[in-house]
Amino acid sequence: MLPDFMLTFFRSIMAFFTLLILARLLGKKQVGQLTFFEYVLGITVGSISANMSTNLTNRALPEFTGLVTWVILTLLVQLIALKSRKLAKITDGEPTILIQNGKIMEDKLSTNYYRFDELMKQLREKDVFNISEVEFAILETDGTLSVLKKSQVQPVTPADLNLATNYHGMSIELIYEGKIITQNLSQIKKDEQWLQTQLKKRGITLDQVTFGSIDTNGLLYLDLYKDQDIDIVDPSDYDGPS
Amino acid sequence: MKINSGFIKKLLVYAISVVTLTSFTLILTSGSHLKQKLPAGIQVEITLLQLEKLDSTETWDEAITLVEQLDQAWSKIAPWLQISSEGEDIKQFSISIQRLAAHVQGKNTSFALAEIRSLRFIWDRLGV
Repeated sequence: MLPDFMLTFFRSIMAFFTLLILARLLGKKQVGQLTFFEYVLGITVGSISANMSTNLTNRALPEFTGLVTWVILTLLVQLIALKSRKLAKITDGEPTILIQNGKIMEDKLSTNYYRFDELMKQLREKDVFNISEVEFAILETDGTLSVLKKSQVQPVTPADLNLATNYHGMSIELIYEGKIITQNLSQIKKDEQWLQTQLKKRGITLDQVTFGSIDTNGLLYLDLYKDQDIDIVDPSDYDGPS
Repeated sequence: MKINSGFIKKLLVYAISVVTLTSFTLILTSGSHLKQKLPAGIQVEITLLQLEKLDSTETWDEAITLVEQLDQAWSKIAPWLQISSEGEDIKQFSISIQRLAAHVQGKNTSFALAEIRSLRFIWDRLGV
């Protein structure tokens, strides 16, 4: 007979890969963006897979079926919610305006079981320390607060000053841990030879580079394994392990 | 014809996912199939049937041999059934064989019959 630890090992492998596949199916939402239902769903799915992995008293098949069923139901609801705005409102809820035109909506606070000090805390997290600066504050379905400051206290932007700005897009990774990412290199219509020449100009070789990227203006950013000529600042004030 | 590499990648991801989940389903439902196909599983079934017939006629020497055969066959099939069965059922079956061995040695007909019934009940449940 297999010892319990071997059985746990096999069941854990199955639970791990099942969860990995199902989690990929569920999408890329961050924990901070989850609605309350999705948060509870995550806990339930996690709990079922933990049971599948270590609870040897039960058969693994019902746990596996439960896991797949929960995820398929969630996917179905998500798919229907994509097509039906009404269902999306039912499953995800709606954002609630907590501050409108600078006035706190007390009735909305109480219907959402939201305390005044929680509102102040979330405003502070948005760098608002004076509530009179707020025009609108909206409680999103994932529990985060979106804040629109009054126009008088908003920073001036180049558009306000009618200033022309350059396009500032995303930088593209070209080197990762001494290896050229050829796919990205061909995306910007360059080749390995060009990159090697650029490195040669700077007097470095490919295997010295930890990370390399290029921005939309064609500027190459290179970070080397050895951080030469830098006095590393140690923020620690004790001799023990950091 | 130019094949989109993104499409192939996506197809591969889906194929691997489907194959993995299907394999897990097959492994987790393999118990009843293995019981009928593996020689040790067939041996357990045959020995149980023989024991069910034997004990009512109280041929104890033959019963001792059959319980030993059952124990040996069980030790071979048990690891195959463990992944698809309840841990408690696997333990109970092992314990039940040991109890049956003791009852047969003590020539206790009623207890031996009860243990065989118990073994049959658990055996039918395993992997289903």
